[in-house]
Formats: sequence, structure tokens, C-alpha cells
Amino acid sequence: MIHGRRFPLRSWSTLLLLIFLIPASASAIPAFARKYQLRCTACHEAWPVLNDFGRAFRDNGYQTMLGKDDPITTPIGYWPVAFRITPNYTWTSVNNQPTDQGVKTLKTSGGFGVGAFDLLSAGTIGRNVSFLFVPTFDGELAIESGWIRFSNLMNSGWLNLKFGHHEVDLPRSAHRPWDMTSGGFLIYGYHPAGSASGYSMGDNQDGIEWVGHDRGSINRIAVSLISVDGSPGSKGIFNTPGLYAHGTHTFLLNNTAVSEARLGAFLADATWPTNFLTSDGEPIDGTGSRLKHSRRYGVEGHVWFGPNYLPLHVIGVVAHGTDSKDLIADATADGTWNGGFLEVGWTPTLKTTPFFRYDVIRNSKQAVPDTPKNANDQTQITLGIRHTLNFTNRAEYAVHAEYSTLRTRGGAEGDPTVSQNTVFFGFDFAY
Amino acid sequence: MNKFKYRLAIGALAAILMTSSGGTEAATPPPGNATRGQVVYERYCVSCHGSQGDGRGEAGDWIFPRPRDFRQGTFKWRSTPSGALPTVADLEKTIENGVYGTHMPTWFAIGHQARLDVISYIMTFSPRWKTEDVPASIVIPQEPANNQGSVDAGKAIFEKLECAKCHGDTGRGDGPSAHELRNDWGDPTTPADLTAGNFHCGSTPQDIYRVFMTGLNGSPMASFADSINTEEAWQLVHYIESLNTAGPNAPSPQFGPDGRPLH
Repeated sequence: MIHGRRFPLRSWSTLLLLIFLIPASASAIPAFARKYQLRCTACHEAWPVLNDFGRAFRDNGYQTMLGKDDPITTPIGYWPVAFRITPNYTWTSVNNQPTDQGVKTLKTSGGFGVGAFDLLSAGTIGRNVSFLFVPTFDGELAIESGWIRFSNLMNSGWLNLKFGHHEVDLPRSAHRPWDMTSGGFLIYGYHPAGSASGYSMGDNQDGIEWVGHDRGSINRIAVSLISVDGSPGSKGIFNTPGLYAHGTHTFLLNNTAVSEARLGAFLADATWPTNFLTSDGEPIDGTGSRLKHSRRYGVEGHVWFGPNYLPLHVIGVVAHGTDSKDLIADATADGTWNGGFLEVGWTPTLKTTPFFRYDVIRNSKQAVPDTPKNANDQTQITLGIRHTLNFTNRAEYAVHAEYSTLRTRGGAEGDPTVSQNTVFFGFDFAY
Repeated sequence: MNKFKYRLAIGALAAILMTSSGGTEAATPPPGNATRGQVVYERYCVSCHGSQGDGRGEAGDWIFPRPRDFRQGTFKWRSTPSGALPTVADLEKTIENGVYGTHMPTWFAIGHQARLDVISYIMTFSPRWKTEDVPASIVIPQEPANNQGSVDAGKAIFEKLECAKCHGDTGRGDGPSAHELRNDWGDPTTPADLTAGNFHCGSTPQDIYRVFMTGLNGSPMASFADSINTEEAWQLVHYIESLNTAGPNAPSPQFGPDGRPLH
């Protein structure tokens, strides 16, 4: 007996539309540039995607480890706060959208508006103690990120512990995408149609993270024990537990044709309650039980063609996912899927980065009998270009143009494919 | 025949001189590609060191110590004798490990080739690289035993060389001249706090020894290669290490077991 949240295809489409209308939040933190007097390009391959130095800096707890990290060493006027705003024009159309009035084509356009607004506070409280705090306001105040990290415990880069609401260590950060309009990396949040689970690897999670790495983060591993975000809650010592693990090895090839490569693997196992006490038919938070599993695992490969300071960065990730049949109404078998994405970002100059991403989800076994094998399959293509107009060690502003399209196959025989197309043009600035 | 022998002797002498001319490198081929290095420089270095290599980037006026001005070819952290240009390995070490206590981070993560390329570009800022040979690195002899006798002898040398004028009697960098010191560019500079255990140029015994014997070009810290012998230099190293309030040879939390920054 399932009392969990169910998401029919129509709800998924609406949810995806909403996601489309909200440009992805991203973590570019000019407060660090001001603290360490470095330009954005020092840490970012192309803002906001981190380069090797930026990753090592992050892995060291936002520290350079050379005596300038403790707040007492910074100028008294320094304040660890940054913001990012993206005024933009967005045009979206949704073809074959099921509505109460039948299948319709929706077109949404608007003038220039303020897209996402990120207010980020991040830095070090003391040597080897760092923090990130990102409040968001969307009608009500929420905390997108809020954590404290103790780094280099026992004088070792292999022992770093983070506590709080954090992004797990993904093959590609969901909070640092090049794109602004797509539905995100599909493999992070996909579930077979009708699954009650709302878990997404890309969502920030409450929990504890252990990260270990060597010098320059050539080898690194991250493990997060989480309480799954968005869950209605469950009984037990650790509310709706989940586990995420990710390991990578980077090959520094010191070759201008292929400067670097990286291989990695990840695993996510998240639970979701399927039974609750209810009040007026609604689940009472924290009373969930009969936790069922949603799992996904995969491998990743990165290749940096050309010199690593002007790279053609190719990223490939493939994943396999399974949702327990107990999460899906009327299911007779676990729902399984395969997916992945291929992303290319090219930075031929320090200021310009065209990018492209192809996301795909293919259901391999439908949980509900008589469901077409390709029902709810998804394909997404995103391409765009961003050109930085100027950057200093204080701020950066860029112009950003992008197109994305997402096609989702109908959930039942004869249902049309829903396709969503978005055009975006905006100015992105961070200070 | 005699003419042939004469030419042979001259040729042999020239060959010997060329191969043993103080161990110098040929003047001074860039180790990488300066054109690519310019991009590396603009990505990572320009905000402090400036587009002209004059240490006056947008951050240059706001940080202390000021970023290096590359135009004179004067570098503090070297393995070469006082006044000389550094070796490529010296420059790469500085870039790779950073400079403790300054805004110069460790650029280990950018990779060896990028470092060689940016060194090649940095060389274009000073004509010295085109006209001067780079001498060979000084030889650092095996460290003798670090014992109380060596420390006591080092203390006597510390007093004889009047190190306390700048570094203070207790080594805290608070000597009577400390606040008057300026570098070759006229900027204020502070003597190292010898009790802190971390030094700009590295904190291993070999790093400290090297500073005594090469000096820090452009700064008031002179070379003592003409004043003390190698044994005395090691004794001075041992005394400096004894001033570390964290304890002799105690590794800094900022550094791994190999003495290299963790970053």
C-alpha cells in the first residue's frame, strides 16, 4: 500500500516546465577572487566550471594553504559575500502538453527579467575550517546550502569532513553548469514514471560528507551519508537515509594535444518512505516507514584536448538506475533505466566558451505491465555560448545565449511526445 | 704537423671550457612555449604581476608583500649564487609550491607543461635572460647531526653576523632595523619571523641553508657565502630551527610529510 507522492506524466511535464523557467543556480564565488586577489580564470576553466586549480582549492576547504587563509590575515574590509544575477530574456514553447482542455501547445515569452539570484557567503572561519551559506528567497526564505567543513584533519588531505546541507560530489556539479535553461543533468534526478521517490543526486542534501584527496586532487574520493532531500521524513535515527560515493583519478599527461584525462565512478542509493501515518489523508512528516530504494550508479570520463588552460573539455557519463517496484503504483517489477550525457565545452580564448550537451534517458524495464518500453524516455540537447565582456579580481560579467530542447515520450500507447524548446539570452554578472 | 697539434690543443681547450664553464647553462633558452605561456600568464598571473610584468596588476597595490616585478630579472628564491638569475627549476619550484605568507599560491595543479610555458613568457619581461648565463645551482652538502653543540655554535654565528639587527634577539623579526627595511624597489619589507617555522622560500633545512648561501636577491637579506663555511651554515640552520616555537623540525600543519604544501 503506497501513500507516497506519485508523479504522473502530466505532473512531470509541468514540473519540468517550471524547472525550465528557473535558471539553474550556480556557484561562482567572487568573494574568493577578492580574498586571494585572483581573477575568475584562475579557478574556473570557464565560469562557473572549475579547473584543476579551482578543484584543488575547493578540496582544500577554500584555502591556498600558504598562510593567507585565516580571516585574521585578510584585509579588514574583506567580507565573504558575493552575489550573482542574470537578467535575461527567455522564450519557451511546449508542444503536446496535456492540459485539462486537451493536448495543447504552450508558448511562454517575456521581457527582460531577473532570473536566478544567488547570494553566497563562503570562506574560512579559521585555518582548516570553512563554510558555505547560500540563502534563497522564492516567496519564503530557504537555505540552498549551509555547511561547515573541517579540513586536513590529523594533518592529512585524506580526512576532510563536511556537515550540513551540501551538494554531493558529482561527476559534473549540478550547481556549476554552463547551461542555464535545460532541465539539468537528466540522470541525476530521473525516476521511472510513477515513482514516489523525489530523490535527485543534483539536489543539495542534509548529511555528512567525507572527502579524501592527494596533492592537486589527482586521486580523490568522496562519500556522503545523507538524509534524502525532499523526503516526507521517516522514523529512525537517520531520517530517510541515503548513501553517495564518488571516486576519480586524473591523468596529467603534460601534452598540449591531450593535456589531461580523468576516470571516475559513482554510486547513489537513496531510500524513500512508502507508508505514513496520515492526517486528513495527508502524510504526517516524520512518520514514514517501509523505506524503499532508488539506486543509480555509473562511470565518467573526462578528456581535456589542447592545453588545460584553453581546453576542449569533453565529458561523458553513463549511468544505470533502478527504482524499487514498491515505489511505483501498480508495479510488478522494479523500474530500470539507462542514461547518460555527453558534454563539450570549448574555451578557445579566456573569454569565450561555446558549449553543448546531449542528455539521454532510456527505460530498460518498465515497472508497470503494458507500459510501452520507451514510455517516458527523454532526450535533451543544449547548446549555447557565453562570452565574458570583462573580468577582474573583483567581478565578472558575461553575455550568454542558449537553446535547449527536451523531448519526453508519452507515458501510454498513443500518447504524444512532449517537446519543450527554450531560447535564452541574458547578461550574467557576479560580484 | 705542429700547426695541427696547436689547433687540436686549442679545440680541446675550448671544448673543456664550454663543458665546464662554471657549470653554466647556455644563455638562456626558454623551457617551453612563450606564446602559450602568455595565455597561462593571463589566466593565472596577470591580476597580481600585471600585463607588463611589473607587479602592478589590478591586485598589485593591495597585497603585501607586493608581487614580483619581472622586468629586472631579480628573483629572491634561487639556488644560484647571489645576484644571478635563477634556474628554470628554481622558478618552477616557486610556481609549483607557491610562496608561504604571500598571495602567491601553489600552482601545482596546472601541470608541468603550463609551468614551463609561463616561465618562458616571464623570461620575455627581462633582457637579462637573453644576455646572461644561468649559473649552476650551489651544492648543498649533507646535513651534519643536529645536536646541542651545533645549535650553540649556530647561535654564536647568529650573533657574529648580527642577524638580530633585523630578526631580533629571539628571532621574531622584530630587530631594531626591522621597520626600516626596504627592498630594491623601495617597498617596505619585513624580516622573517624565525619562530614561526614557515618561511617564504621553504622550511626544510636545505631551504634555510640555501638562503644563507645565496641570499634573497632584491631584498636586504644578503648571501653569507663569503662569510661562513658550509659547516657554519649548517650550524646556523640548526640554530634557526631551534627558534621554532613549534619545536625543532616540527612540520607545519600546512605541509605534508614531504615538506610540500598540501594544495
